[in-house]
Amino acid sequence: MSERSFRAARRRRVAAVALALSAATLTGCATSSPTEQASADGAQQGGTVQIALPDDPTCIDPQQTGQRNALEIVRGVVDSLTDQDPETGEIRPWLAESFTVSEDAREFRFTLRPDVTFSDGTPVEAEAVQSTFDWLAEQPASGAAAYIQGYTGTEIEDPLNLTVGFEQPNAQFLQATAGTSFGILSPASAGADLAARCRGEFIGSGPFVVQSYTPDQDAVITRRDDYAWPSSLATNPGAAHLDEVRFLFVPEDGARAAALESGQIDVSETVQLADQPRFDGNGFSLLTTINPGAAPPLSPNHDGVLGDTDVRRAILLGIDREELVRTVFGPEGRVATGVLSSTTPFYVDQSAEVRYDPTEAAALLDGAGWVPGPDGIRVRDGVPLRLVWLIPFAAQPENEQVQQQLRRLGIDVVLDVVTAPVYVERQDRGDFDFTAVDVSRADPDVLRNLFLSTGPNLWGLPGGELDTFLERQAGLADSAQRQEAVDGAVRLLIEGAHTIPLYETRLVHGVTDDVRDLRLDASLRLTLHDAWRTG
Amino acid sequence: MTAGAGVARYVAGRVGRTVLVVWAAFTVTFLVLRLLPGDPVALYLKGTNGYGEVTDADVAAARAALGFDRPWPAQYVTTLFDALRGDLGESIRTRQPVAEMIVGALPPTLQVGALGLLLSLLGGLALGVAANLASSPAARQLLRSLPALAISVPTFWLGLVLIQVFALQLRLVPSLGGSGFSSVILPAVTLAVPGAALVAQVLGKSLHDTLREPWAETVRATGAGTARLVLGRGLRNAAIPAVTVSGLLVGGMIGGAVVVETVFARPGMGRITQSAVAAQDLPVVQGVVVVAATVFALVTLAVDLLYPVLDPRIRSTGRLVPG
Repeated sequence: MSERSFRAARRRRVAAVALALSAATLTGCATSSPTEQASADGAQQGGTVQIALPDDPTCIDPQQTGQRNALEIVRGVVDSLTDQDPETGEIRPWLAESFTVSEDAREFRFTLRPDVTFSDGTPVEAEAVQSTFDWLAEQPASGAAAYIQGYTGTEIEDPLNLTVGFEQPNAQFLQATAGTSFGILSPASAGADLAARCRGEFIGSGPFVVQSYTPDQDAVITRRDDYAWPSSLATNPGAAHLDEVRFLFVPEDGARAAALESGQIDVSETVQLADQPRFDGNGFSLLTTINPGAAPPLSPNHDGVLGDTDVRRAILLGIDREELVRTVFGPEGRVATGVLSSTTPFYVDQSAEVRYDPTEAAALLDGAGWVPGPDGIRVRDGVPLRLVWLIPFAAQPENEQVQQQLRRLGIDVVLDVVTAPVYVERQDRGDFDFTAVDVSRADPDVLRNLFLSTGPNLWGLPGGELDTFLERQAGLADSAQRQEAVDGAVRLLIEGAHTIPLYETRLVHGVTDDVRDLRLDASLRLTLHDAWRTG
Repeated sequence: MTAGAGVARYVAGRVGRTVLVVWAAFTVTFLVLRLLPGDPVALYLKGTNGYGEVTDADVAAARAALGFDRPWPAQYVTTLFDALRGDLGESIRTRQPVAEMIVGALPPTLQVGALGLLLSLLGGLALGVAANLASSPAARQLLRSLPALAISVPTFWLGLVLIQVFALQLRLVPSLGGSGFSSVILPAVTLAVPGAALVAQVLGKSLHDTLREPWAETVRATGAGTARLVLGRGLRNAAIPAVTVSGLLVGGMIGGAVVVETVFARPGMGRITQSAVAAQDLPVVQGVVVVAATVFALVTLAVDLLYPVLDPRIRSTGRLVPG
């Protein structure tokens, strides 16, 4: 299902969004055998892992694209200032051995670990952090650059100490520094040609370097032998175990699964539901987790019929999420229990409000003047209750399931499937009743990106008190206070049914047993630095 | 009129028509792409940079950089003259020169296409001849029905079945990739099946009719067997429709490449086309269409020029005479 959310328009908004987007998972098997002896932790050295990705990102510069396949390739090539614990959501040291956030969440001070070098031999010092962030702040304020809005500059105290400042409180920035798009690039990269950077000509300090990127074919990263500064969460203290990782672009789901089964690749990213049982055992395993961020919703346009809170609330209560998930995603599916998915830091359980109550839903619609017409579709003043759901690319089973459920309530949902450019244009223009936009990021600030009335505000949200909560959560460095602000925001979102959460998405990758210690980090990218392969 | 003048006029006419076809393909594509709803530049900026706050000024600046802000006629003239010089513009998404992308993508597609074409012709020939030689009516009926079946099979499904059988069960060939001859086989077979069916159908029918012409009776009267009749004389007489179909096959190979390269994860023209269309990357789509139209038009030209060689009657009149 993560593949599903990957497709479509969500592809553009969602996938792009993500600093911490769901990363593609790669697992790979090696084509060559390990040749050196096992290291202290039992990991064998050497070998290649081949990973099939569903799409060619067309640009692999982590600062120019939020595309998840691009960030998956580059995660091993760039190091970030911090890392995020996938279990707790806590921010931990990486290139920065320590960091502090000012009380007003406007200043972030980092102390870099010494003796770190980029792959071109130049040192990773405060100047590189400065040039990386300066460059990012100049980009159009969206995607990764959205997380650095209000940037006032990076002050360098000495080569290892620096402070990043913002005009306004910006608590989410600390989590952003853990992302691949905030990976530190050499000062020379900041001056490089944009198109060249897209083709992989940038310099990071990670355990791998970009060997080649051939559009529509593959991307290859190779080990850097002198690497010795992994994240504090890594199990491997030194250079990567693998010699090489090769990412193949295989758009066809069935072909990816077949290649994994036949041993031609080691990891198949986003394995479809029907193929999953084949890789659960039999020499394979499934690497899976629930995407953090905003749970995939129906996003109602407040201009039009859905401007009526009672109609939106009726839809919130009129969807049988258990049935939806069981039918579309099988036993592994999970219903949404709130605006945020359950794996997001600061998640709030709202299952008491996000519930199925067809009786109350019908009563709300009756009260709003929408009464059942002769064909079962509700009518008010002679106008049938018909809602247009704008869908990019192709309708998915969950679209049809929601359509059927709302039909039972007397609502006629039209699945309006359009091409990606038309989707973008019509959503920007507000020419729709529903879209479905979710954003993956292991930070509750996704709420502000999606729902702040002064932002893109694609669905015409009202602002007011909701904006206050959204802005406050972004400005509070204190966890307990931030939780309160998040609580307030998600409560208002559900009370007003400004978003209608449906289900949680799961990222599922198939991995051969020949590859060990491959995990997903907090942003759902593969930990290739720790991975190794058996003979 | 001499035979030489007839041939010259025939050739000149066909070459002129080829140029016209390529120009028409260029122009129609240009217009259709501009008429499509949606703004590919906005899609590119917002699609890759997130859900958000790309301003209209950002989009306008990018459009200006790509030359999309000028009026259509001006864009058309520039694009046409650039194309005549071999400059097909730059991709909106990668900023890579389109000509360079196509030059890189042609060899793998040509490999699969050439093998696919060869297999189509051989397979179609074998099936078409067999359908006319088979002695039992039941076998003939079966052989005549096969092409209809093969043509109806969706290519992507066929590709997946072939992967299941030959790559997964028998493990004879790799299921995907662009390396080595063995990785060309399955895609070429997938591509060849509908083509072979078409050839078999046309050739089979043509042979069937040819063998019922009066001269065939005369040959039979000399005591020649069916096999000798078919292989010795029938094939040559039935060749014109088959050659015509071969021209169409090349068109089929170009279209089939989109599906086959996606299913087998091979690089090539098909992959470029598929992703460029999905992203509405105008210069790339335009470039691919022009190149494909050129290839197709040249093949058609070659076929047209072959007719006089195959049929002497065309040589003198410059016209295809109904057989």
